[in-house]
Amino acid sequence: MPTLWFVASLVVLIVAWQAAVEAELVSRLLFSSPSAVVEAAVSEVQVSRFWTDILATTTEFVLGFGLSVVVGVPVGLILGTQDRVRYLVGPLVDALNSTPQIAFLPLVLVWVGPTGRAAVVIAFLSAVAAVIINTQDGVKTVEPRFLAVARSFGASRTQTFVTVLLPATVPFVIAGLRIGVGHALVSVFVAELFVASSGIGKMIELAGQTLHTERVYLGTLVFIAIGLALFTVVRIVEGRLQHWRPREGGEL
Amino acid sequence: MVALEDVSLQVEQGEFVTLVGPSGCGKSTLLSMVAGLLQPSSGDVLIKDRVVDGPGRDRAMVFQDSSLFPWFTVLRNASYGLYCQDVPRKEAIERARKVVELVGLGSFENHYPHELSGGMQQRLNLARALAVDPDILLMDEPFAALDPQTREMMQAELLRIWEPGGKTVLFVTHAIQEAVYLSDRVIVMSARPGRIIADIPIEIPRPRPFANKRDKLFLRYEDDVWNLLTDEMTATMQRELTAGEPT
Repeated sequence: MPTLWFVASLVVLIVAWQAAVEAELVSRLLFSSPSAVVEAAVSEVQVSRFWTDILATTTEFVLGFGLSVVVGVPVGLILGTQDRVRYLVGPLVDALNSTPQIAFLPLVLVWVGPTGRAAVVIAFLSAVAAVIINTQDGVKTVEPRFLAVARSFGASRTQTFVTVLLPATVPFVIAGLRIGVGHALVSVFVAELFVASSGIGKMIELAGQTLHTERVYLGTLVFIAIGLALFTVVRIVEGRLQHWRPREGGEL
Repeated sequence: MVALEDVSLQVEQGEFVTLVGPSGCGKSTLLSMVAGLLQPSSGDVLIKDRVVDGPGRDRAMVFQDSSLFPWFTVLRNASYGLYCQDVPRKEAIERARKVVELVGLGSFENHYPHELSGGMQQRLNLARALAVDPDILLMDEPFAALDPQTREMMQAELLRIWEPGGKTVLFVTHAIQEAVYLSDRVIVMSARPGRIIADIPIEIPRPRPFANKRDKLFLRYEDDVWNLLTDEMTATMQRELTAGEPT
């Protein structure tokens, strides 16, 4: 039922848009039209450059975000369990988390040059703080009664870690991943605007400058699709790791 | 804050001993000390003449509600203690399966705790403790969260499971009827700081059918415990109301 409503509103929007352009209520040049976007899509999918751009954006994102998970989860676990390390490093992570990470872009461009690698680094920086902080919070909020159970059965530190801390932290890690995905996507997009070679961000920027508005829309749609695909992946991972949780209504 | 004062209690092997007392009288604290989860600030807990300095394989705790690991299935929850003792996986699963069956959850091995009712969860809680085959079972208000009927059923179940095994049980509860029904001895504790004010042997033969609960003898035991507790409950309530100090 909710899907039906959503589709209906989408159809109304598209029809209204097309009608407004046909009736010349708005400029075709500035606003393009749904039919022009479809035409652009039909011609673009036959151009290899289009696919190269998609691949470039996806690769940058997957590398940057993947790195933030590989680094962020262990660091978060350490910060959550080792108070001294948290005193040392915690404020830095908080600082990184409360900065718009894209502000590091000029610096990153100086470090790695204006290539796709800059997008990878900035995606990493954007996601990693959220992953670390959420993981750390997860460890810190483990229910004491579960730790008491482990202790009463004589669990070793490793056993407690594997059977209590890790599973209890998973929901928090997932929450961190969700935030991280959003941050990293924004960063990849912005980085591509500045990076010379390829990527959907680049495609949108070039199309905008040459007033190919239909390709701007197309690029945006592709970006949305990539974003949704990534959120879906996170949700699948979540389902895999949390099959033990009671199913609740009201998902996203 | 002093939870317990001058508590001296001796429990014989195979005895079922219950601690009752007003809220905050330190009965759970006492249980945690026997479990080795807390150290007494003075004095010792001795088991077979050895001082308790931490959790041990001779004891297992049945916690209050929802201490089951929600991320493990019934079988893995039941085998948890064995896992901690590094019992080989196959043997652990086998032993866990036996206790799961003993507590009546045989057909729920692969369910997760949230799929079980409150009573079933406490069966599993009991199974997890029984799996390590402890000499002493420590039970901290295990049935407190259950509805009254389920609670009575679980009391009978506990006796059915415990009676042939000869394990020592130290059981904490607020429910006087539960204490009398289950125990060989009921220990009545005072308001905080907790002291032992009575040690009542319950001389009702076992096995004890439900109908026992309406026997004259049974009711007299209940009255005895209740009368002893009333003064303490009044004291606790007075203190809460005058000092504004909830317990």
